[in-house]
Amino acid sequence: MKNKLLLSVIVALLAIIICIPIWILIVQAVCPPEDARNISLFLQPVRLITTPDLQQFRTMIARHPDTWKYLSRDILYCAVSALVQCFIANLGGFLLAKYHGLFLKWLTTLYACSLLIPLQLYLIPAHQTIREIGWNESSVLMYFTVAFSPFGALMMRQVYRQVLPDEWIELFRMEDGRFGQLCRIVVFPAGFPASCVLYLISFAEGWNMIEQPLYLISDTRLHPIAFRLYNLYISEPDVICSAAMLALIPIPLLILIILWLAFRPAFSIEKHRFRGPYSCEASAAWEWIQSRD
Amino acid sequence: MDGAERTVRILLKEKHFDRFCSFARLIFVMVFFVTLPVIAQAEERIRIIVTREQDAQNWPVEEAFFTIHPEAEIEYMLYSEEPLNARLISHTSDADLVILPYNVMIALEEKGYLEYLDVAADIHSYPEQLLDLSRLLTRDGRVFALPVSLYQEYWLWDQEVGDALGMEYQEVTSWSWKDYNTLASSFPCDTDQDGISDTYLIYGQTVAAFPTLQNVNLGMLFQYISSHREFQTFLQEHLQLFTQIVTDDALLDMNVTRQVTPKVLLHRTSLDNPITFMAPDALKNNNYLLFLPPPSLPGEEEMATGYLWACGVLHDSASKELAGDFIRAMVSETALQFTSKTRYDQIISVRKPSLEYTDSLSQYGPEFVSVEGFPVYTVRPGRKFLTSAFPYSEEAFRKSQSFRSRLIVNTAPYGRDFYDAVYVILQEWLDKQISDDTLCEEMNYLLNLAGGA
Amino acid sequence: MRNRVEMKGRKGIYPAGDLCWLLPGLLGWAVFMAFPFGKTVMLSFRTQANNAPMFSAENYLRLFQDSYYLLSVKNTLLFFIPAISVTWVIGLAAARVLLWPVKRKNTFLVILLVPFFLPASSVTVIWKLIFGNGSVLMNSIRPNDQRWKYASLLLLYLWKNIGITATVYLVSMHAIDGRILDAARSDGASEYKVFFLIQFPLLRKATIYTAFFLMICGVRFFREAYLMFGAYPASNLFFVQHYMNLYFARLDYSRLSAAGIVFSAGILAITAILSDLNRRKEGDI
Repeated sequence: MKNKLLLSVIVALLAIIICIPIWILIVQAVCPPEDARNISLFLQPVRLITTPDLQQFRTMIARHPDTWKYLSRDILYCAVSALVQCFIANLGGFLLAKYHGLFLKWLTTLYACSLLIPLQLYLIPAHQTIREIGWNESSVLMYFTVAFSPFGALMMRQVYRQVLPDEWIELFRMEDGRFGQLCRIVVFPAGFPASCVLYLISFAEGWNMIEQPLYLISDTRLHPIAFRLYNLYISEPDVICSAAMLALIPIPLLILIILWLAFRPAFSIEKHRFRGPYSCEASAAWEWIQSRD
Repeated sequence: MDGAERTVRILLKEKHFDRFCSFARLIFVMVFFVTLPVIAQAEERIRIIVTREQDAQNWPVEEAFFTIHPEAEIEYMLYSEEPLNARLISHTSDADLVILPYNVMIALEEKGYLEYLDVAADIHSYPEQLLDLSRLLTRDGRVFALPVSLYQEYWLWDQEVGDALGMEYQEVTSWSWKDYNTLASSFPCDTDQDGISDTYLIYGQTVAAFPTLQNVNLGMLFQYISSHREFQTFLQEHLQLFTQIVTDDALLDMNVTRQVTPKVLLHRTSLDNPITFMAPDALKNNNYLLFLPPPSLPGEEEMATGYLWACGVLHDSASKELAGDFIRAMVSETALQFTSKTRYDQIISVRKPSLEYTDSLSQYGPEFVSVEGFPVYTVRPGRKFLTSAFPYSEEAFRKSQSFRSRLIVNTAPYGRDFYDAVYVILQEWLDKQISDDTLCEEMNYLLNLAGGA
Repeated sequence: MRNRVEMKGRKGIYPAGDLCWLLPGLLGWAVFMAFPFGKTVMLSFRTQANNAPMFSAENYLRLFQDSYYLLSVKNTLLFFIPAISVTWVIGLAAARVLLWPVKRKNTFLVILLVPFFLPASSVTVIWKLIFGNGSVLMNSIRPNDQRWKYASLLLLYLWKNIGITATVYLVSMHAIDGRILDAARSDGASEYKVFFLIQFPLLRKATIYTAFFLMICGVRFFREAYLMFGAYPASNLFFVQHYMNLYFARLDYSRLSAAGIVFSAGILAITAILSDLNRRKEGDI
């Protein structure tokens, strides 16, 4: 009992230490702009507690009235690129996990090696290739590196090796099931929680981009909002904390949504939608086939 | 048939999903591969890359160019530095000319991105009609760029304050930091004998986000690091003097709130052309601010730190002839006899311009619009400027150009980060966190890194 | 139908035709990573943008004579080896703690994970406020300044990556059959022996994956380092990517490429050695 209490206290203290930097940012973001400016320029010490005041946010939005438009644009692009990454990663991960062959082994190795290469080494030639195809400067291009990153495929490969028994696949093949049905009924539901985590990682990767807008996009209106903070620190120190806060907000919200989605009970059977991790369809199908025998 | 069995049979027999997948696959392949590049329409047009909006305003040169090519267009493309580098490295800039800061120009020249002007514009030596910046813009006698605009740091003598102190303005072409230190030793002054100092020598510099660097004078150090790639000489010969100058009672802290703001004798500025403050024109105009060059390092040639923008021809330009004509237009009589009323920083000729353009209705200011995602400003012929006589005398013009030719430019890439790094080291040194030897070591590391050693 | 599958065996369950579904990801990877990297390798053998010989190893030779490159490699190793090691140890300890009956451990895990996903630009704002040159902390506790900057960057790396490390280990620890551990405990083994002699060896694969993942995080960590200290950091925080960045500003993509390729080759060699060691150990088992 004593040990349990001690452990809980240690864990709680660690959680508080982890949260301190975020708390500090929240406090500075709700300071009045004049005080925030002085804090950013180290003329006043950082505050740990303050009377909340949203004037900083109002000032920032008044100076940058298109903030909401760019924020929603960035969220949309990140959401779509993360979705594309999830789709591609699930397909690729399943194939790399279950299908055998020398080509697939080499491909896995190449995927893994490419993740260790710094972005600067392929960003500029990639940009050249895109220009040769005929696409000019566009903020969409930045998100392609997120959508087609091999990280997702490697992650889902590990997941499918563990969570997807060969028997389920054999079941569907025996009933002449096609690849699309297999993915929809068996593969995607089995990897759903991991897909949610991958979605979160890909969204965060798109949201946190620095190199792609830095090297590829010169029109500042096309820069992601998280990247624009980089320039605000010098030019607008009185609103930098509120801008940092605003750039931060979508991520914890998304984490909560993902947690809710990944671990809630499955959809209704009668609507024939694919299910969460507690899929009754597939296991019901398995029971039916066993009962037939 | 129970529910599970019905479910499985329905799902296994459903073919719509497979058809949808095949269709989606086909669409994806089509979109990815069938996109065709846009073919630009052929017309007389030159494209110039700039990194500041004001560099897209070159009225005299543009008008001189349009006299040779009355149907041509000039398209300015606005880039920030890193995407510009990416475009240049990947040869996808689609530009013919560049007007860029000097530190970028020399990088372009070193890596072979620029065409020498003897090939591009038949200019075989640095033009005599331009301000003598040949030491900056030539390599092995070959010119790679021509100056477009330049700023320098210069100081101003406040004559009213000088009169109150009983000090007479004297025109000097050069003075040293030792002279400055001698002058500073008699400040601050109390001219009204009320026990409170009311006159200081000069405002101190304040660096945001560096609490120790408030009310300091860093000019001597910046002059040195603009022209040297090692710090040992500064440590041995100038550090003692710098220690006296950097935080001095003669400096007025501009951030301190006072009931009555004290006066300062000298002002530091780096805007535009100092011709406005040159004698005899300034005296004639009863201007109480008079030009003073910044002090120079003891024992060294008198130079003034500043910034230079230059224009060069890109090696992979698609319209080299037009680009060459633009360069020739820069040194033509038609261009050099004019200047722009609002852009005296662009006066680069050794001969005084006779006329200046004005745009009283503000109809020809650079206005960038987004084209295919990046800002572009197109200049077409047929503009109607008002002209007036250039208002300054030959003597004032000669003096200002003589000063402006003594320009030194810091060539460190990422200038803002470079100076931030200098401030960090300086702050540590002023706080006595590091010794003089460590200061030298850190500055050597930084200067060598910035200089590409 | 069942007989047809049995005759084809594994090929019937996993037909080769399904591999066409790899195409979208493979094409995207090829267009955005593989071919561009190939171009980069070719460019690393050129010295000038134009009129240059097609092949020259000058960039690689000059690299190893460049004291700043050698400094950057040294700094990168001196930073990331301790950073990865400490992150790994703390992550493992956190995962071990979370295996015990602790209240609200899921909440704690989520809190640990949040820093990993936060934008670098927001995080560096916080870090500059706390550890910046003029902060109260900096002014009151000031050892040699470079060591302080190193420590602040190391803390940032730890703060960001401990959560994901702990998660990976937690998942792997859950995958270990509890009966093995119960058997060891019932034989009188202490918790210390259960962890170090039974659990830890079974986590070898997870350790390799964690090290690999932390190296990827290290390659991405340049963002935070750049936003904190700019293009000219202190001499002990000048990493290989700072070197590459400066040559990008000088438009010397060939030198940048050579530096990056040598750096990547080094990391890949380390990864290959770790994987090989893991395979040999598994073979021994």
